[in-house]
Amino acid sequence: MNSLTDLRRTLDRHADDVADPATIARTTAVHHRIAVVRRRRRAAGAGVLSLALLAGVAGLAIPRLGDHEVLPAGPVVLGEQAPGSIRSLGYAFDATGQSQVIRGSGKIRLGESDTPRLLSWTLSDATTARFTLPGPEVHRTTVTHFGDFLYVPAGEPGPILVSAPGGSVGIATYAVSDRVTPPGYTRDGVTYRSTVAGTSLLTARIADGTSDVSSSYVAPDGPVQVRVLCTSLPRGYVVNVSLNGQGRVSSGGAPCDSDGTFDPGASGYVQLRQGRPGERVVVRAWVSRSMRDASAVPASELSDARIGVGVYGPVDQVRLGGYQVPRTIEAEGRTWTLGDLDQGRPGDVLGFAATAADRMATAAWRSTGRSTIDVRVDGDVTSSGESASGGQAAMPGIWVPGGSRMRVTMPRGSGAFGAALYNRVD
Amino acid sequence: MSSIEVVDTGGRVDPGASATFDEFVAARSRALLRTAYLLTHDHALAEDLLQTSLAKAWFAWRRIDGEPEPYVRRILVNTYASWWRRKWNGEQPTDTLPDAGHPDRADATEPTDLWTAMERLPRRMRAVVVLRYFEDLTEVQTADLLGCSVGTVKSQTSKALAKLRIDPALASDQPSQAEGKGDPR
Repeated sequence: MNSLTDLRRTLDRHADDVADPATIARTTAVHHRIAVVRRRRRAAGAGVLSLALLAGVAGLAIPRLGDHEVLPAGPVVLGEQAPGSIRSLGYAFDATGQSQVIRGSGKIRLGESDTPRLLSWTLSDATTARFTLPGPEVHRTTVTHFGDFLYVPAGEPGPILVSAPGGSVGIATYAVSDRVTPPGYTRDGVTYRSTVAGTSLLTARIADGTSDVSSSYVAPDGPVQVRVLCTSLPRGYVVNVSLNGQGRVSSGGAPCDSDGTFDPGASGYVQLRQGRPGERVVVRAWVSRSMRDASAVPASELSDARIGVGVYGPVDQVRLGGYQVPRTIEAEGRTWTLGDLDQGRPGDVLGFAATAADRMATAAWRSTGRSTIDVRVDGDVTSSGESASGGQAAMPGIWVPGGSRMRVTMPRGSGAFGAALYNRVD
Repeated sequence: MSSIEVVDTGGRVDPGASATFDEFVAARSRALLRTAYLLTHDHALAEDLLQTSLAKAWFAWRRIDGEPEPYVRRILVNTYASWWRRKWNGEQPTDTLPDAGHPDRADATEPTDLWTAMERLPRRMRAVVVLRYFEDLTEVQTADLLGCSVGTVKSQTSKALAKLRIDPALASDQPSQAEGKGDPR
């Protein structure tokens, strides 16, 4: 027969036998598990609605190092140590361990991913490298020693053509890490960043198991952009947005697919009119069964759904072709500011000379009746926009590689059009 | 002109909250690992259990009111009880034979092999023993942590002690009153 003293002694003795050599390693391991849970939740059906025309255009971010950050090791490529992590718009992209050496020319194939990835490189015996993403989107670079990165959007990117005339290029791959959370409003791993494309986060809210979320903010002196997040909505359901109960805008029935809970502050937005500066404004986002039906569905119909809303402002804009475009944008994992712009009428040719650096372009127009806009980069039409019955529209995200000229025309329609070129900031 | 106003408190606005969680992991995970090891009797499973519990706690970190350790300990014990059925009880084929294992050095010195006897206890019963006689929780605290009645804790304790060949009459020993650290609630 034993005693309770024996039992306690046995428990204490075995507890003392537990060695715990590495709490830092445990912290890292726990965060890895958290990341896995997040990804699983996202994969269950997440998506950000594209509410307006300017999808993918958004802001400036402030990176923040975690207090207990353990940087991963980067691979050694072409005899050179690649960085373990790269920062982009406040997010950390950690080395995946995958690397590839391309001698002369070749292809890189990345698998499908619901978050963006970065490629960084070093050159050997070559002075330039060229990356061509499907589109095509050509990136020429003279940077080496992993001094720059190429942004690969989420999804299935397709083959990336790489060439390094007369030499080799060694490439390391980076994926989004959960080690670092950008400043902002975060819930269950999803962050509305505090600053996006030069605008400030005025308010945000993400909620689970509800069909209706509201929040409020003080109206700034300038327009605001409302960016909505949704996951796991039943097919056909839409998200509606209003400010102070007015100006309802529906999502247009975009499905909540598995892409896009990453960085909802950089998703598509809707720009709404609001009250006077200093007034309190209530923003509401709610789910209805269709665009015609504005009534919120019962929360019980949305067992796994998540909706969120973030408001950014004030937006510093400039008039372009009868349209308002922001002075600062985010694209390719970077921030860009307005450089050159030009405007014209149908029949005009807006020409932009080449520069050494890569640029991003936006074309915009305001027309009556059917109209088309063509954007040519080095003579090839790379983007073409059309309005069936007139109105205002914009085409953002046009890639203009360094060394390339751009021409914009309005071959059809009446009204005004314009184009703006943005220069890289970071 | 612009200001940040956050209405919702469910989310994590201040990224510094992550640092608080990390500090907790650094400061308290060894103590939790000891409990996990006493529950699982396996170093690898103990680490697995602890990391799983900490990851679960992370998602609720902002909602924890007061000291997080009791909350995390509750997750740990309940995860242990539920995961045994779901995960650890399954047979997993491997390419290589697992190590035969080595007895803990303490085994040889223990009266009537209590450590081995504990391995034969049902999981929930083992949890009761660890909470009562290692964590020194009261019956009320143990019941609260396990989400069961005090009567269940009493009966589980009595049965466990009987299986460990300890006089069940001793089961009424209340650590909180006689020698325990916690106050009865």
